[in-house]
Amino acid sequence: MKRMEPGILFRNLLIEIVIYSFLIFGYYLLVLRWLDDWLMTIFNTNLVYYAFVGLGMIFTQAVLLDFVTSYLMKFIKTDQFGIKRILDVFSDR
Amino acid sequence: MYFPIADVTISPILLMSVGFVVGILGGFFGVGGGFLAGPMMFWTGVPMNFVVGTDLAHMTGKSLVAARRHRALGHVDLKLGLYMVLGTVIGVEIGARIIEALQETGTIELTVGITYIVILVFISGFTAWESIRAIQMVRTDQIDVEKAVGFQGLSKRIQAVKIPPMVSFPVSGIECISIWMVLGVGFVTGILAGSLGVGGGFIRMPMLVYVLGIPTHIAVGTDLFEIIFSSAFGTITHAIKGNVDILMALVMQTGAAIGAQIGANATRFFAGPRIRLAFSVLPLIGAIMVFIRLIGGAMGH
Repeated sequence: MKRMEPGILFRNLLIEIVIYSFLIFGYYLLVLRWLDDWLMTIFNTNLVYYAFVGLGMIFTQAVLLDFVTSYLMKFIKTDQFGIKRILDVFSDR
Repeated sequence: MYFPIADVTISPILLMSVGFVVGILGGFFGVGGGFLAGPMMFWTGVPMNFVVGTDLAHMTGKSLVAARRHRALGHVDLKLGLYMVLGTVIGVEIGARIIEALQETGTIELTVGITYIVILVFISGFTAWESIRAIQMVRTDQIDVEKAVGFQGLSKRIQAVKIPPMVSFPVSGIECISIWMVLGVGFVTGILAGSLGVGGGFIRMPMLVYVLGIPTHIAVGTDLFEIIFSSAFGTITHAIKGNVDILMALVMQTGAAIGAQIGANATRFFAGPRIRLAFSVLPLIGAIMVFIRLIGGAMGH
């Protein structure tokens, strides 16, 4: 198995976390914070429906987030954002 | 952020951070992480009745992400996982009935608590002893690190039992094993999980390694695969009782997803014995938390 240098790995990880945080912030503002009233209504009217809708949402979000993180990792590895090149300008390496 | 279902206001960043930490541990060790997430959620201010159910809900999503990542790395034995689910479901049901019987005697908290502590301390001590032995074997005997297991006697005996039907698990490198042994391990972990009220990841992972002889990386991935089913089932039952705040679980999951992915990917850089040695600390933390709860309960009375 070809292993990357720890420094590069750590840098990739940091880049991924920063980009992911921005995406999640946007997701929170656009989606999550608007769900409370709707979920509360279902919770108060039909708990069985709430349980299955909730589980469906958990699964859907998990698949979505897995897709986002995998895609991000692939992009950062292949440096399609050109971020490494930008960082290299500021680093001593 | 206000969560109307749990009727509590908590910072979403705090919840995401809790999810992130538990996600890393879950992805790396193949555990649900309920024994850590529960107290952390309680500490952030989540009401106790929502802690277990909401944690199970976020665990479902986190395990899905981590299991998918482990599957991409070739660390999930789907066939083994499905057999284990079958045994576990039956075991959980019987474990829940044991709890009901204990409730009638009125000694449930103490009995379960002490049993839990004894099992966790034993798992922790045994895993630490075995993994240190395996690391020494690698150094002195020059054997392949992935094949180094300091205690193989039980798994060899289990694999030698020839009660039909026999099954093979090529992904795990097991050519032939009695189906009853696999179901039995699932059943025993299910009873423990059901009667102790936990997901059972940190009981199942060592059992997969030491009893069935599954390689550590595959045990981690397969355990996560099984947690998807057990926690999804738990989410439904708790949500029907009104103990799940789905919005809170979704917020936690955003942190857990990347944590689980990091944890799962990190397993590539550690050999089996080192993962097991690091894992040995987790049951000890769980035991300390149960001990504190028991002391707190006794002082409360």
